[in-house]
Amino acid sequence: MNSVISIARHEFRKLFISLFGWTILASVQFILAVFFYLLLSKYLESGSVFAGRGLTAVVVTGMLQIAGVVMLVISPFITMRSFSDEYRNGTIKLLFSSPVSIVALVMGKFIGLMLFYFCLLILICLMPLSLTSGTVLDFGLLFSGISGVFLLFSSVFFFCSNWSVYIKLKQLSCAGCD
Amino acid sequence: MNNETLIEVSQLSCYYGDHCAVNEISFSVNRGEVLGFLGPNGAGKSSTMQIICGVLAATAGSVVVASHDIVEAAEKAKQHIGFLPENPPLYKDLTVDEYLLYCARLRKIQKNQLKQAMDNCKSRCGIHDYGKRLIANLSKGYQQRVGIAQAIIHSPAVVILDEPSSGLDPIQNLEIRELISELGSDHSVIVSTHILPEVQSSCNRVLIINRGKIVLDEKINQLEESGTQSSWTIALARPPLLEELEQISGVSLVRNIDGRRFRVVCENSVAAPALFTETSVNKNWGLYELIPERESLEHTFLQLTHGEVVEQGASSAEKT
Repeated sequence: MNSVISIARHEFRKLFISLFGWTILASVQFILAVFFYLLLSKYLESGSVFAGRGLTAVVVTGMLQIAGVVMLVISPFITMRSFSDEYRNGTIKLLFSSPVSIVALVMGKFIGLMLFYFCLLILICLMPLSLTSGTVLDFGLLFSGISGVFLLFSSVFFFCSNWSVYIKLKQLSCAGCD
Repeated sequence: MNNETLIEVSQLSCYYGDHCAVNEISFSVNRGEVLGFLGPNGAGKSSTMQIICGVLAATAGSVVVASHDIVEAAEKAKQHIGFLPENPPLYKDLTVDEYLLYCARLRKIQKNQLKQAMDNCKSRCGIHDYGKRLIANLSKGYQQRVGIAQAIIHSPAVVILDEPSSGLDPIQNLEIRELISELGSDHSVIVSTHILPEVQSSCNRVLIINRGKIVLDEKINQLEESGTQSSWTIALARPPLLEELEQISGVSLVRNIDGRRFRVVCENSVAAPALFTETSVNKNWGLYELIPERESLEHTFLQLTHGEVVEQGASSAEKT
């Protein structure tokens, strides 16, 4: 278990010691903020097509739908580097010669990436939560929406990080380059 | 304790497609042995080392490290292994301390022993003052030292170093040789290198591999002593004719280097010094220089890997 934590911590840190992690966080936040603003201003327009529907259903759910699409595009950038980078830099030999099982290695990397994703999700949640200062949100809807995005990201992360094991070509794994 | 076998390699084979990189090799390494692993490029050295460390899967055969099979009890076996690959496995975005801490945790060092293990390996590798430096900013030699430090951080019973001296300056090279000799006192060490004097100075056993097969497995001192021929450079104040030198019993070849100096190949390396001095005194040749040529390993290496004996006359002349 200690190995899993060590690998997860290292994977998480690796994203933040380079510009890569910060760039991803800023880009996603910027894109979603634009859509959040557009949805909110559209909702507040008089005679809008959203009239009669709740704020959470329109703005929050709408933004989370876009977050799902954005993350489908972004997640290969985050995850496909996890193993391919280790192969490319030769550091996979350090991991393979250490007393760490393959399960611990994959789990460590997965948890590390999920921690990063969790940070991303918290930042995304701050936008809908800011609405609570002026209105009442449907927290059930908000929670189910976030859960959906979380599960979607988890599956994509897992798929991409495992797929990256087979991709050693720099051109193909460019998504994972710094 | 010194006879404890720490590495047992049996009938190991490794194929890359149809190409046979390692062909049914078997050997064992005891505690306290420093094994020099020699061979030309593509001989199968790195593949063998990687298989021993569990980095590469063998096609056939078995490797047992400290009584644990590297496949069946991989985690237990790997706890006793420290491995430095040809290119040090470094995360260049990390500082030396961060990197070594991660390596220590991967090797399951207890929390309360982390600091001591890091300090110990840093001082052994001469990087104590570089803890806060980014690895990317270190020179190639210091990166190599960090690579060696990660291999010994958990004081493994078996240390495997694949070309540890590449990129090091002569002083660092000397320090690494000393470190290898020091490690050899209580660990098993396998060192792969292309620098033959390094093997002669820091290893006590040599294993030459060629085209995936072991062609020589011998103790260094035995190799030097049991060599069928040994070369000497002798200098005589009153040199006789070349024929006269050739007539000394046991001398198989004599070459004139500069009129006073001769390169003499002798059949018995142990008896040679006494033979030369006695004959010189008896015949009043005025022997004032007697230098053994420590090139027997190079000679053996070339003979076994290329099947040829290299003329050493020119190099001897340069040396004298």
